[in-house]
Amino acid sequence: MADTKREVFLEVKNLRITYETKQGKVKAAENVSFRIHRGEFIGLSGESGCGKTTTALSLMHLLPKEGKVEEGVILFKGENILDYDTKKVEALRWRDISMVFQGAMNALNPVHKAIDQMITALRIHEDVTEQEAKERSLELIKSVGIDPARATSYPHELSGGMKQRLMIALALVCHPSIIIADEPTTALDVMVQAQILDLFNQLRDRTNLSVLLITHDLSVLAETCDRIIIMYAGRIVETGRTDTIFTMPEHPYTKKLISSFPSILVDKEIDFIPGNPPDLINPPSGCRFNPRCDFAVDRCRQEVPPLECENGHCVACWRRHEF
Amino acid sequence: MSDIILEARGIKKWFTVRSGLFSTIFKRTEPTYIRAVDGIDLKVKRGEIFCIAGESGCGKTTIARLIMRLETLTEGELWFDGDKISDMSESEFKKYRTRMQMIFQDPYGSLSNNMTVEDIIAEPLRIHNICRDECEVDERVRSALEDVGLNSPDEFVGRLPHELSGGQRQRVAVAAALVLNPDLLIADEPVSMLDVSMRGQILTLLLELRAKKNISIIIITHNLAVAKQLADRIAIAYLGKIVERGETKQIIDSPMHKYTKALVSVVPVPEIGVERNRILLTGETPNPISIPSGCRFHTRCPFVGDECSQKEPELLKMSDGREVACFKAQVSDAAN
Ligand SMILES: Nc1ncnc2c1ncn2[C@@H]1O[C@H](COP(=O)(O)OP(=O)(O)O)[C@@H](O)[C@H]1O
Ligand code: SF4
Ligand SMILES: [Mg+2]
Repeated sequence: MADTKREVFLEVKNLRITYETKQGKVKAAENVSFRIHRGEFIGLSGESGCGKTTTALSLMHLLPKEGKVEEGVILFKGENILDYDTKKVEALRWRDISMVFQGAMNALNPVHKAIDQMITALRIHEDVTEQEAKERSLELIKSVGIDPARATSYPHELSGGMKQRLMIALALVCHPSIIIADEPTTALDVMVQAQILDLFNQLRDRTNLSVLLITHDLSVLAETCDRIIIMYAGRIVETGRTDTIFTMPEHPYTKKLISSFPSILVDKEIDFIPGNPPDLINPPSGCRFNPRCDFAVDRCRQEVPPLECENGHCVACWRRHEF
Repeated sequence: MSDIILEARGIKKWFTVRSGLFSTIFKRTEPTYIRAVDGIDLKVKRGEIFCIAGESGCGKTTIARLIMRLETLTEGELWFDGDKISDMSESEFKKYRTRMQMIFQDPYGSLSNNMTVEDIIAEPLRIHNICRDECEVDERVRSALEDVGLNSPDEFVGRLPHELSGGQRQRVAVAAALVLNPDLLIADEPVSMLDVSMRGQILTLLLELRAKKNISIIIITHNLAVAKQLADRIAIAYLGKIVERGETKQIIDSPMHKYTKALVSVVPVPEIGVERNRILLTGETPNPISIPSGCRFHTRCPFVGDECSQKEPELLKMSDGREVACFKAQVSDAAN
């Protein structure tokens, strides 16, 4: 599925993003580069605070005002969208690149019926009649597995799972070619989570949609994604095909992350990574994982390891080939 | 000293719905109840880690709150270390209050932000007037910090919660719960807000505490993978009742109740290429205001039979020692 010959239609190169704070500049993302092909499902994972949401927001031009893209290029269909003015960004957002935000299901406007919110969203972006907008909205509501009879419900009358389906329907309303889903199942029960992931899988079978699925729960990505990106402290440390990442991880952080994941299928001793992720105002020099890495040597503390690729499996570790 | 530290007999908690909304929807005039906990028996052994698992709305948090007397029972009895605590007066109950402690899901919300770590941990000691003097308070605070792996207490006592990492905050919450040397610790989703590496640290800590102090722990979680790593026994709850209970490994490796089977089958796993027979249930857990007749799972059960909507299956012991409340499972067990 992850056919590299397929059309690359989103490419991020050397992205560097900072946030201005009272305590200093937070180096939230650095040297972030990746590609998304048409129809591909990419997983982005790593512990809280590693820069996942920051990266996602930059793709939508939605960083908060203290956030700044200091460097880098985001190529969408060959154009650098970071150069776009407000008008071009608005034309792109929701219609080409769409997003389901973290915790968004609580962001539905409580005083409007679900369907009305969709009709409004659609009519802001496209020149359609009320009737057309209504028909398309109902179609979408059905496609995400909500009984059309519930379309006229108010958000508080819907369960968490239904609200999340609705957010996905809203994100799909203008037929985007890529949807970014930030922790779309984190607050949901396992059965509802499985239903939502199943919905993403159905969408992939029906359309040529690409999905960037962001979650700190790596196991959620195993059954859904073609490729996985692992971030640590603002940098990508490893990317590769899903099976490669899970069966042959090479970065010490990814290895630890996977071995720390409890699984109901095996009897695993509890494992964890001692210590905490670093403060991104003053991150460690060299490899940012070095203070927690069992294999760190002097070079790791001095020089930043580049993300190097072999057969599509990219790893940023000086000692990759030593173990 | 009883071998059973905590026992619940037929406990129920029905909340009365005050707003007219539901009554209007269900066109009822008589009072409407949310049957959050609807008849549950439990026995937790000394030194045991017992897990109550299930999806939201299954009543697991309410069970914990009932045990802690943060809610009053609608029906049933609670026994602690051989004594019936459910109809004790507040003053009689006082000496039991220090013996059971609770930690909560959210390490951010549960610690007050203007108290130092020292104040937070010392508070239960001061409230219960446990120490002779401030020196003893200080000593116990420090040893509680060491118990939870914050090994240089000097570094931590003066800090405020926001100056700690998520994992450290949860450790402080555990320290505050432990400072009174309770026999029973109730942990409601203690790791669900933590990242995986932090989670491992807290789970390891709980295991060490049990080994060192022989404390009993009731862990409440929706995460079956966490339950498997931690708990000796597990009870799976659905809509206010226990549907299956037994040794954790037995239940998770070979579930018998159809609901447990479905739940286990959809837990995401960090392994790839494993053939799993997923049972994806449709819809969501019904509202506990209108619990289905018969087996309360029958409206969503892919294996539902005729009798399932008519009679309510009892939680019965199977040949391997576990208990299951499912007609089909009971029949197939009897046939073996
Ligand atoms: N104080 C309350 N008043 C009314 N309903 C409540 C109250 N507390 C819990 N409930 C309801 O009881 C049911 C079970 O809740 P809870 O014990 O919180 O389950 P869980 O912890 O498994 O989510 C839910 O439907 C919940 O809305
Ligand atoms: S570069 Fe060095 S410190 Fe970083 S992960 Fe590799 S061995 Fe560890
Ligand atoms: Mg709860």
